[in-house]
Amino acid sequence: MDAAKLRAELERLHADSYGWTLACCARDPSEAEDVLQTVYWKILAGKARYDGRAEFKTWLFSVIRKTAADAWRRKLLRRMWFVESEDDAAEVASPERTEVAIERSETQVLLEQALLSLPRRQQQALHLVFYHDLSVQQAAEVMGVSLGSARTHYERGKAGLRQWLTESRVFDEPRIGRSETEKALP
Amino acid sequence: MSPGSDEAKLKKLFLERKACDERNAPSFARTWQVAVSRSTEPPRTMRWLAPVALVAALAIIATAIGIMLHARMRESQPAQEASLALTQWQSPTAFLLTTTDSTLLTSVPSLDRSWMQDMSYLTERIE
Repeated sequence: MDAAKLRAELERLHADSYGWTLACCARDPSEAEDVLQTVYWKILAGKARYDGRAEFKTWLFSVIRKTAADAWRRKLLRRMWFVESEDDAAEVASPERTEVAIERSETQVLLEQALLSLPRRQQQALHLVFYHDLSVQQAAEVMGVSLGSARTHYERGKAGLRQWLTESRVFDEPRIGRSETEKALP
Repeated sequence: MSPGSDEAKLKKLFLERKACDERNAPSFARTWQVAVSRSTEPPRTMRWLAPVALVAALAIIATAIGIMLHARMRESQPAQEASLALTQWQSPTAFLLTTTDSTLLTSVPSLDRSWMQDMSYLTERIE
């Protein structure tokens, strides 16, 4: 794939790539941006090459997953050595993060809590299927696991999420309507 | 509630999330530009640090092993002294077991030159 075509493909998939990077970085926007920059740099520097064996999107997503895992390991090592960089300190009070939190609806917050209660692999399988509209086969390729394993993660994750959201009454009637009725009661 | 309707609701929740993420995503141009500037940067001149760090790590390991061995040797020295003292111990009443003629009974008299001369004198006399 030539450079111009590569750039065009990356630009087309940028929003999707950012969404997947966010999921791989525990929804941390600044870390996700950093990881995505590293992914583009890897592709530019030839450290990650597309060989055409898989779909471009699944290949790109697997590069993102590996890069995010590397970043997470480095972060863990830094914490182990008690070296907290200035970036980590600044990250806590990031205005971008606050804006995003305000924008999220109550249901979205519940969804996030429900996803966080699931194992990482199950979160990834659900995200790839529901958010990116990938098949379980494609999700398996991105996650680097067998189809059977991906299917198990997906099914267990879906059951867990369904149970959590039913218990939180997200799957009931619209929340606004119910709260208004509750307010009207003496 | 059927599983199919649950899936549709889950899908809807994820799509809402996607829409929110897309609004807050950094622009492609900015992300790409950072990646391009990173790829054109000269390689970091900190490569010499790797062998230095390796040598330092090896030195630290060797020192640690040396300290451990030294400490172990120092620990075993008093034990050796104690075992030596134990083997050389003598009862305070050990002298009671020795008699005045014990040296005579435990030793063999030596046949020196004078004895031999006496013996030759005697044999001459007998003859």
